Amino acid sequence: MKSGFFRSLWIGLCASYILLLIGAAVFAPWIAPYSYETQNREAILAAPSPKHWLGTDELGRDVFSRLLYGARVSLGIGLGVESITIFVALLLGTLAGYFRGKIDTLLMRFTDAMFAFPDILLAILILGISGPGFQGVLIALAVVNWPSMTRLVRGLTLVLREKDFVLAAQSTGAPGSWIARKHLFPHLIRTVFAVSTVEIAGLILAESALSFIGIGVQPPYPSWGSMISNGRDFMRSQPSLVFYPALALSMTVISLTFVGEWLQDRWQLIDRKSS
Amino acid sequence: MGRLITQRLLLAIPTLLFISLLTFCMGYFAPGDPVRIIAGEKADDAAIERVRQQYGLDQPPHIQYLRFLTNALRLDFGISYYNQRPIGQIVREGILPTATLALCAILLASTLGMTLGFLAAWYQGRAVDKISIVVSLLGITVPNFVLAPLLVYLFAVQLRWFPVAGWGQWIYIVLPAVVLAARPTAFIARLARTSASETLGQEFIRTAYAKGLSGFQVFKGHVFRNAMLVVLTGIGNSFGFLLTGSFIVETAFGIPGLGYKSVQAVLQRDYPVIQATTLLFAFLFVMINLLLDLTYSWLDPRIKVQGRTS
Repeated sequence: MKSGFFRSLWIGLCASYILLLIGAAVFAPWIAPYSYETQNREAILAAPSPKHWLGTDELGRDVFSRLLYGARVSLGIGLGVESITIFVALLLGTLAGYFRGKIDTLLMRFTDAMFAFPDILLAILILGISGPGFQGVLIALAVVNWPSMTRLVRGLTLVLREKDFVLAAQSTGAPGSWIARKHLFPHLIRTVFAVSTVEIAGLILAESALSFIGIGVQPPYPSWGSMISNGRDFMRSQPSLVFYPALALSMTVISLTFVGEWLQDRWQLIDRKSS
Repeated sequence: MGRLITQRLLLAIPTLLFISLLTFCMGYFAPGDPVRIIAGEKADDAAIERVRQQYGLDQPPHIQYLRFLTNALRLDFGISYYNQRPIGQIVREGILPTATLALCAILLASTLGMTLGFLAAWYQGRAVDKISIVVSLLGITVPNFVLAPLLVYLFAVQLRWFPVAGWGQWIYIVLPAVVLAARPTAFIARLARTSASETLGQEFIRTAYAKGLSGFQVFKGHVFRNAMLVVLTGIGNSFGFLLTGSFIVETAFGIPGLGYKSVQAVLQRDYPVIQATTLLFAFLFVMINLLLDLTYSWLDPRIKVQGRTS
């Protein structure tokens, strides 16, 4: 993957897959040949056919359609949680990094304590209160996810606040909120975006894991994780029930990770040149 | 050393208090009245009031928290909402499978990961190295809830070497332990490879060869010892994966451990059980980290007492 051409090709493939997936998720109700819960009693555990492209599951539901609706869950959780994370990180991270003082100490101590608490435990604890389901997973993963990004933004802000252009702005008496808007955010946004792409991959995996163990998105709504979990009972007759959602999941996670890391590489180069 | 241990123990206390406060809040704000569940469906108002007083649930929250804390220290978490059994008993049953599984997985991951990593570093660029890179890439990218059905399909359904799921004899441990060990193995192999190849590039390695030591002696005396510290960090960090993995692996293989029990408790809205398992897991996690920190400073006195080493 070192050669430039093949790397570009690979990243292009990954990026196209992600765009395709987003399209599939958004337009799932129009693309999917069936609804995610339509049961075809005539075709239970059917093999792939023109009627059911990827076959059907134990209740005669179309696997291809369920995969498309599952993409909605994965991307919905990924993007939803990451948006909350970015909002909190930009707010708290810049506040703490720019003004230092008590907010900073408080943020650092609090996030330290959060890091000492294993993520999955906290997520399970929160799901215990909220109950399983899309909303519960969204809240649980958002609570677990915000500290690391906030620490990153804080660290970057600490460096930025010493830069000449920030000092110059300060000396002209510009208010903090203006400096944040005009000088801090534009510098932070690329790093945040690139890191987010990689984080979304992790979030999609986490959602699938929670749905796999049964405390994520609840049936009949499909999630790739719960599809894998259900398919395990039919391993002997229909291993593809596990295979397709696992493939969709792996491709998504790998694509997001590669694109995110590529963005990080690329933008760091530009940053180094321009500074 | 004594001072270090006390200092570390004192540092762990605020973390544990924070965790206990979180778990307490979770139970406190959870929907439903625990008293009604303890007293039973048919209890009249007087009986409910008696139970409320008996369990101290009429007290203000901070008193309740202190009570929760002292009870937790005695491993007394009350009774399960779901089947009215004492939670201490439920938790005690769960510890053994989880600990057995974790121990097998960490042993497997350390031996396999270190072997792979060191071999890869020693034969850099050769076939072993490439295999180890592929194995670690797979171990890190394939999530364990995908690996579990895959291995079950291959080794339980097709080859029939191992049972599909269950718990009891040693043969039931193999597949779950392999699944649980996959990610730590990859992680440890990568760390071992990086740190060993870094050491191999040092000048004292050339000196060691120059004074006539054999390849094995150089490896044993210089590479292994230097890389060990990094590898140990990897093993330590793997406990996090083991914890996350135990929820998934125990559910996937139907193993009645702590992870499985907490997942069931979430599904049954059995709040005291969730509290108990969370607290126990968190306690173990903090304690293992503490032990590792102490081991590092014992192995490498250059690591100072202040702050975390990572």
